[in-house]
Formats: sequence, C-alpha cells, structure tokens
Amino acid sequence: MYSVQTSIKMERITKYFPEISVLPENQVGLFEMTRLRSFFLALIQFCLILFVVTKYNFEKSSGVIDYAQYLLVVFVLHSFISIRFRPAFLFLCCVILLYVVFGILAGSFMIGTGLSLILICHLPIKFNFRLCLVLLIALMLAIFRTEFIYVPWMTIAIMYLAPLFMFRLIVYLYEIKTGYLPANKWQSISYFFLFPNIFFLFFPIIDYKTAIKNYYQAPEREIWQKGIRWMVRGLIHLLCYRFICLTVLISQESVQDLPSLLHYMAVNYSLILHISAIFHFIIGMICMFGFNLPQVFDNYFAAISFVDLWRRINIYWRDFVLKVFFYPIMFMYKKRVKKNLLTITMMTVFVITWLLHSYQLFWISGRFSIKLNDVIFWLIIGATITINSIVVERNSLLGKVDTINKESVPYYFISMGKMLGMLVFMSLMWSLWYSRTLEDWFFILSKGGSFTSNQLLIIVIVLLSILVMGVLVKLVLRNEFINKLIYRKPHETLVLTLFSLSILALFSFKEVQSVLPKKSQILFADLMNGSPNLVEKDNAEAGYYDLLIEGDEENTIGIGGKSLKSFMRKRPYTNAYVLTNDIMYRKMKPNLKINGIDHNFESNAFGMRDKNYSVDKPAGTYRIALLGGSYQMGSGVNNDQVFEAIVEERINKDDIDSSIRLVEIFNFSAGGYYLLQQVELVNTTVFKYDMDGAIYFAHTGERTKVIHFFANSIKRELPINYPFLKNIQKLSGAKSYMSLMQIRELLLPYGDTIMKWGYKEIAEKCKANNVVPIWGYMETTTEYVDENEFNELKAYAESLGFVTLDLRDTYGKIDRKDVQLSEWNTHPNVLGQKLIADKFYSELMKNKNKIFKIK
Amino acid sequence: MSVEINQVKETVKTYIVERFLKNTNDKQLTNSTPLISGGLIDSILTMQLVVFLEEQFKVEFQAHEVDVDNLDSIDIIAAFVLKKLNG
Repeated sequence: MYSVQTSIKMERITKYFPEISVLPENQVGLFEMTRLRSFFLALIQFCLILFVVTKYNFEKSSGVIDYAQYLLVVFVLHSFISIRFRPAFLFLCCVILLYVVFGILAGSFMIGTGLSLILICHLPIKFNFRLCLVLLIALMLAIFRTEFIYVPWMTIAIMYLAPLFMFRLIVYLYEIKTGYLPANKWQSISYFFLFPNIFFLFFPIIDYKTAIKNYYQAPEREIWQKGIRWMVRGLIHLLCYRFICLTVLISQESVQDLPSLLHYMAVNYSLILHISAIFHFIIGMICMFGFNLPQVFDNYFAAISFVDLWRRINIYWRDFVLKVFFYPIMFMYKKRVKKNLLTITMMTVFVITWLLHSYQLFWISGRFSIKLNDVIFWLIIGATITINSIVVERNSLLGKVDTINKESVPYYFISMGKMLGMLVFMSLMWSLWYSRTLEDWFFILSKGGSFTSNQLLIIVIVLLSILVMGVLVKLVLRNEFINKLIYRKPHETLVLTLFSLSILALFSFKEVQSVLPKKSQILFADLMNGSPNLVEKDNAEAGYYDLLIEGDEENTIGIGGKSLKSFMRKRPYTNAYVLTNDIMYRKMKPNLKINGIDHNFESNAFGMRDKNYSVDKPAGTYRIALLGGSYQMGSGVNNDQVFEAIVEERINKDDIDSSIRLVEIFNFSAGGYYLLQQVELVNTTVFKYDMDGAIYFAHTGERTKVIHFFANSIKRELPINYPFLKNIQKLSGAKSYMSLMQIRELLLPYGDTIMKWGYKEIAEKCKANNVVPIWGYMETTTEYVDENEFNELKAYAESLGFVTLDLRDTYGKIDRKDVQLSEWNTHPNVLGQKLIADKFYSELMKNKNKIFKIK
Repeated sequence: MSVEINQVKETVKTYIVERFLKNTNDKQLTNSTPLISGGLIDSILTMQLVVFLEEQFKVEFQAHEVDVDNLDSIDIIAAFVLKKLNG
C-alpha cells in the first residue's frame, strides 16, 4: 500500500520537477516523526546560526541581522508546504523582501523588470532576437546605473536587481540556446529571485542546470545539515578574517623593508577568507531551501600548482567560465586553429574573466574601472595557468609518469614546497591587484630590497618551519582515523556544527567571556563588534572584493542597518561638482537643487552649500566665512540640518549683540577640501564678500591630510602657484611620475612646515583684510582626539592671532555609531550635526567678545 | 558502425588509465567512478578525452555536451557515445 502511495506521489512530483529522481522524504509525510526530528535538529542549528550572526554582527551591512527573524519564518514555512509550491513560495518571499526594503515603486520596478527579462528569454521568436531584446534592456539599465540619467530610486533598484541577473541570465540564455529547457517556470523564477542575493550583492554564480538537477536530489536532512555545515564554516572563516584584521593587518604605507613587505603580502592574501566566509554562508543558506549545491571553495591555500589553484578557488566562477566560454571557444577554434589551441583559448578566457570582473564591479558599484594593475594581474594569472595547463597536457599526451610515491615523505616535501611557492606567488599577485596603481605596487616591492642578514635568516627559518609543519600535518592525516574525522561529508557533521555553534553562542555572553584573560576579552569584544578598522577601510578603497562586499564611503552596499539609507544619502553629490585644473581640484556648481531619496542638496548662486546672500553686506550685518571639508559642508544631511545653518539661525534668534542686526555664515566648505584649498579660497574668493570673521576648521591628522592632498596635486600635475609649495616640492624631490605612496613619503618630513605655512597664510590674509581669524578644532566621529596634536595646533594658531574654538568632546558619551551616517560613511548624521551645532554655538558664545566686532 | 557498449567502456577505461591515472595510486577505477565531479580529470584532460572519443568513435561533440551529464563516468560516457552513434 505504502509503495503504491509513494509511487503516486513520485509521479506527481516528477510532473512538476522532472529532474527529481528520488522521492524527497518530506513528501512521504511532512509531519512524520523521523522528518520532524531532522527538521527540529536543523531548526535549532539554524536558530543558533542566526543568534551567532546577530551577536557577532556578521556582515552587518548585508541585512541578514535585520531580517534574521524573517529568514527563520521563511525556513519554517518552506519546510512544511508541499514541494510543488516551494519554488513559488521562495519567489513570493523574495517579492515581500523587495517591497519591504525598497518600497512599492522600486520593488515593483525590480520585480517587473526581472520577470520581463525571464519572459523575453522564452518569447516565441528567434534566439538572436531574444538576445538583442535582453541586451537592449541591459543597456537601458546601464545608462541609469551610470547615473547619466539620475533617478535616485532607480539607481538603487538597478544596483540590487543587477546581481540577480548579471550572471544568471547569461547562464540561463546559454542553457536555452543549447536546448536545456526548464520544465517548471517557478523553478526558473526562483532561480533568479534567490532571496539571499538581496542581502549579498557579491554572490557566487549559481549554475542553472546544477541548481535544477540538485534540487532535492538527496534526503532533505542531508541537504539541511550540509547547509548548516557551510554556514558554520562561513562564520568561522569570518572570525578568522576579523582576527587577522585586528591583529596582523598592516597598510601598504607600513611596508618599509623585506620582512614587512612579506608580512603585508601574506596577510593581504589571507583576507580572501572574507569572500570565502560570505560564499560559504550564502551557499549554506540556499541549501536550507532544498538546493543541494556543491562546494564553492576547496582549500585554496593548499593549491600546489596554478591549475590546482584555478580548480580550488571560487569553483562556481571557474565552472561558469568553463561552460559558457572555455568549451565554446575551444570548439569554435578547434577546426580553424591547428597550433596552440589551448594557449589561444586560455588567454581569451582570461581576458573575458578580467572583463567580467569589471562588468560585475560596474553593476554593483556603478564604476567601470580598467586599471593597468588589473590588466597585468589577469594577464599574469592567465599566462601562468595556461603554461601550467600546457605542461599538464603535454605530460599527459607523452604519457609521462611521476615515479615518486605520492604517499611518501619526499613527495610531501615537494608538494609542501610547491604549496609554499603558490602562496608566495598568490600573495605577490594579490598585492598587485590590491594596489591603487601599478607605481604604488612597484614602490612597495622596492622596499623589499631593504633587509639585514638576520632578517633574511629569520625569513628562511619561518619558511622552512612552515614546510616542515606542513609535512607533519600530512603525516598526521595519513592516519585513517584522523583522516575520516576531518574529511567527513558535510551532512555527517551534526556533532561538529552543534558543538561549534554552542561554543560561539556561549562566548557571545559577557559572563562567559569573563573567564578569558583581560587582553583576550578586549580582543574578543572587537571580534564580535566587527566594525572595519582604518586599515580595512583603506584597503577597501583599492581592493576589488572589498568594494563588492561592503563598498566604501563612496559606495555603501547592503540593506542592513543604516547602509541603504547611507547609499541614498551619498547620491546627491555625484553631479554636484565641476573639476578644475588648479589646486582647488573641484568646485561646487552654483544654483544646484538635487533631490535625493531622503535628503536634498542645494547650492546658492556663489556655488556654496548655503542659502543665497547678497554680494554687498547689508548694514549691521556680521559675516563669517566658514572654511572646511565634507563635515562642515554637511555630507549626508539636508541643507537646513547642517550645523552651520542651525547655528546661524540660532545666533540670529538669540540676538547676541545689540550692535549686530544679522549674522551671516558663508559656508565655503566642500567635500575633499583641505588646508591648501582653504588657503587658495582665502587668497581668491573669501574676502570678496566683505567678511568680518573667517573660521578655519582643523581635524585629527591635520599634517597627514595636508601631505596627502599636496601629493595628489603633484601626482595630478595641478598647477601650483605658490612659490613656497613649489619650493617644498623641489626640496622633497617629489615628481608626478612617481607613485603616490612615494610622493607622500618624500613629503612626509615637510608636513609640519606646510601646515604652519597654511595657517600663517590664512592668518595674514585675515589681518590684511581686517577680518578676525578663527581656528576651530573639530572632533571626527571615528578618530579620538590626539591631545598632543590638538595642543600643538592650538598653541600655534594662537601664536598667529587666531581666536580658537575647542570642539572636542562634541559627542560626549553618545556611542559614535549613533552619530555616524553608516559604518562606512562616518560623516555626522542629523544627530551628529545637532551636537556639533550645540558645541559650536557654545564655543562662539564663549569667545563672543573676541569674535563679534563689527568693523 | 556497430559498437557494443562494453567495447566502448573497455576502450575508454584503457585510455583513461593509460593517460590520466598512470601516475596516481588510484588503480581502482570502476565504470561508475566519478571522473569530473570526483576531480580525477580537469577541464584540459576532459578536452583530451573528448578529442579521443571523437577520433576513436567518429562522433562529434558540441561544446555544451562537455559536462558531467555526459562524461562523468565510464558508464555515462559509453551510454553517451552509443547514443551519438545511434543518431
């Protein structure tokens, strides 16, 4: 009786899912005891994972934490509905998420465009016409993505829609072209609208055939446990990544000799753990919904050759490239090219791989970057893998045999040596890829020439130790018991995952952490916090993957926390400036009115982010020029929320002085303005408006910022009209053809001199125009005040006759995160601006008598 | 051309062992051993295998046919080659 029922059910399922060849146990009985037991085991672990994810702030910006409960509900409901409806249910869940996150307009646009693209793939017209239609839509979306036509909600919608389609649509069209037609339309739709993709824009390329063929192609409990195992692995990789960032990560600027160069390169390559963490987590999450997907990374650090690395690193990418490009290109050339077929194919494939990386970056970040170091990186990687492949092919064709026993100690030494070689090679390549420019990379490599014999000895000892340790590990792994223990199939790992999750969950409680030594407790707290440190942020500016995973200040990615809002905030500035070929570098366009999604940006007739003022000063008016950067301009908030506007209004309301009828604060600040631009403004613009006072705002790291800006000006060959600066450039030996890092290093000894010159210029010009020079020190939301620097700068400003305003301790005991726009865009938010306004006002009032003196 | 399935299996097996597995300790190649998904042969060796099959059995492969569905084990290869031969 049972078997008859089973076969009827099987028949029903194959009607909807022809690929399923075994009856999933959930269809035998959704509420059967054995299934319920497996389900609860998976549910407990999934709950623990989401608990750990929340407690350890796993990829905060992604939104997994914000929508953890939603994920849990989706998992439970999905597990108890008939398999027939599951793909449609997954699509529905994605639709709900899109509407909740992006609203009706953007959500509808994303769903409508997505469904239209799928529909076009199936139109009853010639394949090439369908392809053209898809390309046409892609082109239109690309125009909006470049913000050539700027519609804020559409920019965001495309940014989040593109990752669902940018690769999967290529795969899907390929399958249709080659005759693999999907039998179930809901499976196709849910293949595109994979809802973890909304959280993670940088997503592994899921193969359509693999997804369909592996849908419930194993007992459900096994797929669940596999998913859990991978999510746990992802969490562990992420903690390793954070540990590295917190303890051993150094910036390119810290590289001074061979040991620090090797340190930098090795640590930089190990940051690939971040990608591996996220990809494992994603694939694990997809497994929880029945897709029994294969592994995405396979011990890439253990690669012993270039081909081996290609086989192990980002397997989904490799499979995609092989399927859609490598084999078709090889077959295309096969009959035409008699010689070097493999070389031509491989090199073509690597050029495509490089372009696809740029293509991916474009859709997610909106930038299409073709950097020389990217080209060289892919060229070298492509060439090495090609050469290695040719050797493999030749050896195979010649029937060459390795006589050495692969289970012998000498072979272990050889393979460990190869592995070490690959690690060194990839570290070197990664440092190239993660360099801002090729010159920067050559510059840090040149530091490798500096070493002592002792350092060299230590390096050799370290490398040999790694070699010997690797061999020892291999010997230990020869033991069958240990081998079996380690190399378990993912679904056989219940004890391991449950144990790991319990430990992680336990240690998320402060009471449990207190058993650790004090130092470890602090480290653990940082590990759990997960906020990127300064070096990480610095790396993100140059790092390809960092840009895709979390973005940077310019390009916040993710729907979690404040990330999406921050992205919306950033957009108004895209077209707010015009580049100038002088030391100002850029100027704000006048009379702008840009409506962002949640804040607006307006500039006045003078090209300032401020209201309109008359050129001639009305009688009884006291005018102050405010000179600053993005903080003072109010990046990320409305015009009327900027502290300058708040203070101006308050001063006028409070009627601070009977002789002053009106106070006007002209906000000359703009994003990216530093001391040298303020000097230029003072020399060219500020005093045209009959000022009474001029405030220059300093920040933490004043000297470094001046050097960085001056170095950029030299690199960009901007004309420098100040003899003093020209002389400094000459004395330092900095030239525009040098790498930016080298220019900065050469200018470093002159930081103090340049800074003092700038202050003096502002003070002297103010005095010459009978204007009160005012110096303000503003605390940033990220760096704590360097008291020594503050005291030095203040003393120097006072010696030049500046009235000084101390805006330290602006945020009091408020958590800095509460005053930042987001984790990556740390400009003050509305609350931050309010607090700055309070502090600024109180400092102005403290110095009222020195400042408000009508001429 | 009349070819027996066992003949195909034997030819393919001999080729794989001679070409790809000679320098490994894995002599336990069965007709169902996963070749591609098991990591025994990679993309380059897969292409060599395809070229061999095309020459040996006078069949022609399409690019999209080079995948685990058609080449993952000796059994699968033999079935696929026979399907090709039989049109």
